[in-house]
Parts: sequence; structure tokens; C-alpha cells
Amino acid sequence: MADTYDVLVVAYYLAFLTFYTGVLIYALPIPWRGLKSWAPRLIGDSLFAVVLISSYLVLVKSTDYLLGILGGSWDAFWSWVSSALAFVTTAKTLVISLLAAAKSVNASWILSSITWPIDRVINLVIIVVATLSGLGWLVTTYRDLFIALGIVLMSIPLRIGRGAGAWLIAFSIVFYVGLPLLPTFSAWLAEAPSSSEDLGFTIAKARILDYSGDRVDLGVLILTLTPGGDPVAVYPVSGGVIQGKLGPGYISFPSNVDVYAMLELDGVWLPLDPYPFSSSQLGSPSSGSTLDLTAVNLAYSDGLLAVFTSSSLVSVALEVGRSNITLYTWAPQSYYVEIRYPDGCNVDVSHTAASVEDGTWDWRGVSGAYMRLYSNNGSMTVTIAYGGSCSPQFNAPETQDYLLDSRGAESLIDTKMITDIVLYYLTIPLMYNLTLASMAYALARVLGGRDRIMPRFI
Amino acid sequence: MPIDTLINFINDLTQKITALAWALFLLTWSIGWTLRGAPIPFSKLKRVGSGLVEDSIWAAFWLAVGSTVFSIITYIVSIMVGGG
Repeated sequence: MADTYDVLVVAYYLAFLTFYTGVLIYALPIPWRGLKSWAPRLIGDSLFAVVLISSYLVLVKSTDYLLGILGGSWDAFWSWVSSALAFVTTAKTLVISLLAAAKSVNASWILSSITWPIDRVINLVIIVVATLSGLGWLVTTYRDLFIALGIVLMSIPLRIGRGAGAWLIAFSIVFYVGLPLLPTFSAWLAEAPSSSEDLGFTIAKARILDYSGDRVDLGVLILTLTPGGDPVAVYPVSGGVIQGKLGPGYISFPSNVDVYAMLELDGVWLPLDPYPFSSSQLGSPSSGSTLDLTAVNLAYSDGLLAVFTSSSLVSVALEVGRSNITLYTWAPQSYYVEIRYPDGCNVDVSHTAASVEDGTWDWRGVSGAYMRLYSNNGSMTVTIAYGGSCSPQFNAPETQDYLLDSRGAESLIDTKMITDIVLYYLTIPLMYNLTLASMAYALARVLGGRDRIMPRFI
Repeated sequence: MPIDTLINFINDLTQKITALAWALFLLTWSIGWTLRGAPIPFSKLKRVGSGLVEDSIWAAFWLAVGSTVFSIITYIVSIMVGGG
């Protein structure tokens, strides 16, 4: 990239060229007034260019000074851009989820009719905010070079680049000073739209893991607001994916309150860590973070067999083979390991437990057996060889999504939110930038963007 | 195009134009006086001659002023840029 001062040197030499071209026209032995009138014009232009070149630093510093006295800040602008992008990304995720959900809920036509226009608006907002961000980057990165190039263009003889040069200088000055004031301008005239968290819900991609971080294939995820309370959401898990209405893997839950997650599997309820969790523990939705809900008391393997341990167990090691699992456990106090499997799964357990207790269970149309292995204290080794059909084909409950079923999606999208989005992120920034563009045009005219303006000054 | 090449090109062009302007000044000045002093009793022709002389003197004035001022500027710039 050309150095700014090199560009200014070129401008100097072009100004000389313009000057001597003017003088040459003066010296021509052709008594034609139309031609001769260009001589003082070119000499004037060159002197103006020299003044402009000499004022380069004044021009650059004056933009900083103006920005300072008007109270603008580029940091505020970038924070406005990033908050706008975070908001629209969240809104876009919500809309996409709602559109997907529209296929599966009864009032699908209501959802579709509301979400399609919002989707269009959000697309426009993304384009506008990205354009503003690009404009900001351009102006902050290339302001000095643009001003220098503008001066070079204005120094070209015969006013070839005068209009373009004046526009470039005016654009750099006006947008460098004006763009950082956009957040203040927007805040004066409109209210920032509420984010989905302010609306009281959060949508997140979630997965259920066992103690070792392996994905749990089956079960039912239940969300409550108090330990053991009434469910606010119920999601069947199948094939390792939570069957959410907002899309595979997506769940919704209330924001800014504690939510207790439990996994129901083979007739037992297992608390999922973090217990409880809240929306504040999630990263930004735009960062694509996933909510990992971990059943710390569960060792699960291959989708075939579930092994439950007591919560007091402090050390577990698992070895998984093609048709057997070996579990090494250790704890300083007495504990037990419970092995659950559905009927039809052939299990052969060898162990070093002190005592064993057997029993049966029924769960959502599946019956099975369990084996509880007790250890007084210290270590225990359990080897389970299995075969047959170990994955229970349970009657999955119907998905009860917090947002769509417990709360009702229609209540979330009101006209005020849409108005706020359109005003705050679309109308006002566009209006403001049109104002800046017209100011840049006016300044370009003052700098000589149109013919016959500068000779009036000189 | 390297910036030095561009500057040399513009500089070269400027020098040629300056030399041409000096030459044209002499020519125009001569033609002007010739027309003014010509034994032709056409006042319009004499006004054209006067105009040419006047223009050529302006040209010489700006050439002199420009050469001086721009030489100073070039000198200052070359010091600032370091030999440019």
C-alpha cells in the first residue's frame, strides 16, 4: 500500500504540472479567450491544491478534533455494531427455530405469518449493520489515505479528478466524524429492541452426556423450576439427539431463573449437571455454544447398557469392548453400582462386590431388571458381557417445549418489538447515513466538487 | 507503477512544459509586438497584439514566481521526504 506522504508528494508534483500547464496556456500565441480563460483557472487550481496539500495534517487532525468535541467515539460505534449483530443473530436463530417449529405445532399459520416478515426484516438489518460496519472499517483504516488520494485527484490538471477528489476528502471527513455519533443518534430517537433474554426465554442447543463425556442415546429430558417440581418442558431423547420442536437438539427454557434438568432413563431420574443451570451460564448465542448437561452418576455405553453408580462414588474407570464392559470403581466409603437393562438384553455379570441385590423395573412400556452391587469400601471390578436387544424401545412422551407449549410463541412477538427493530436498526441508521451522505456532498461542493465554484473563492 | 517512476514522469513532463512555456512566451511576446508595431491600420489587429503581449508578460511573471516558489517547496519537500 502506498505511503500517505508519497501520495502527497505526487499531489505536489501534479500541482506543479497544473500550474505550468496554466502558464503554458497563458503563453500560447492564440488570441482565443475561451482557451485563455483556462490559464488563470489552472493557476488558481494549482495554488488551491498546494494549500490543500499543506493543510493535509490540519485536515486529518481537525477530523479527530471535531470527533472529540462532538462527543463521538469509535469504541461506542463498534460496541453498537457488535450488540446489533448479536441481537440480530439471536433473533435470526429464534426466527429459524420458530419457522421450523411452525411445521409441528397446531397454530402453524400464525407462526408462519408472523415470522416470515420478521425474517425479511432481520435479513435487511443484517445487511445494513454489516454495511455500516464495513463503512466504519473503511473510514477508520483508510481515512488518511483517502484524504491524500482526494488531494491527488484534485491536483490533476484540467480538473479531471476534481469532483472525485473533493468527494473522497468530504466522504472521509464527514463519515469519520459522523459515523461514531450513530449510536447516540439512534438512542435519542428510538428504544433499543429487547433481546430474547429480556423477553424471558432462552433457546440453546443442548446435549446430554454421561460422566465420561459420551453422549447418552436415549431417555427423556425433563426441565423443572424447583427440584422435583412440575415439568415446564419435556424432551424425548432419541439417537443421541434431543427431539426439540425448535429443531433437533434445541431446547428452550426460562431466562434468568434457575432451571433443574433431569434425565429419565430405564425407570430412574438422574440430576443433570449443572444442577441447576441458568441462561447466564451460556455463552453468547451467536458464539454457537452448546449447553452440556452431564449425568455425573451415569456410565453409558454403546446405546446398549446403562450403568448407574451412587453419587458418593469418587473414582470410576470404564473399559468398553465389542460386547462387554469392565467397570473399575473406587471410593473410601461403602457404595453400590446398579446395572439396569431391559428384557431381551442378555447380560452376564462377573464382579468383586461384597453383596448383590436384584429387582425389576417398568418404565414407559419397557420392563427390565436391575442388579445392585454393593461394596463395603475400596475398589470393585464389574465385568458385564451383553448381547441381544439392550436398547429399550420405550414409549416416548410428546415433546413439551417451554417456548411453544408452556408459554406460547404467539405472545412473544408483538408489534412493538418489530417496530423497535425496524426503527433502531434500519430506519434511523439509514436516515442518519443519508444525512451524512448529503453533508459529504455539500462539503464536496465547498471543496470544489463542481466546476466554477472554486474560482469564485480565489 | 512505483511511486518514484510516477513522480519522475510528472517531473519530466513539468520540465518540458516549463521549457515550452518559456519558448512560447518569447514567441507570443514577439508576435504581439510585431502585430502592435505592424504598419497595418487595423485597430482590432493591434488590440490582438496588445492582448498577446499582455498574456505573455503574465506568463513570464507566473513562470518566474512559480519557478521560485515551487523550487522552494520542492527543496522543503525533498528535505522532509529525504531526497524525493
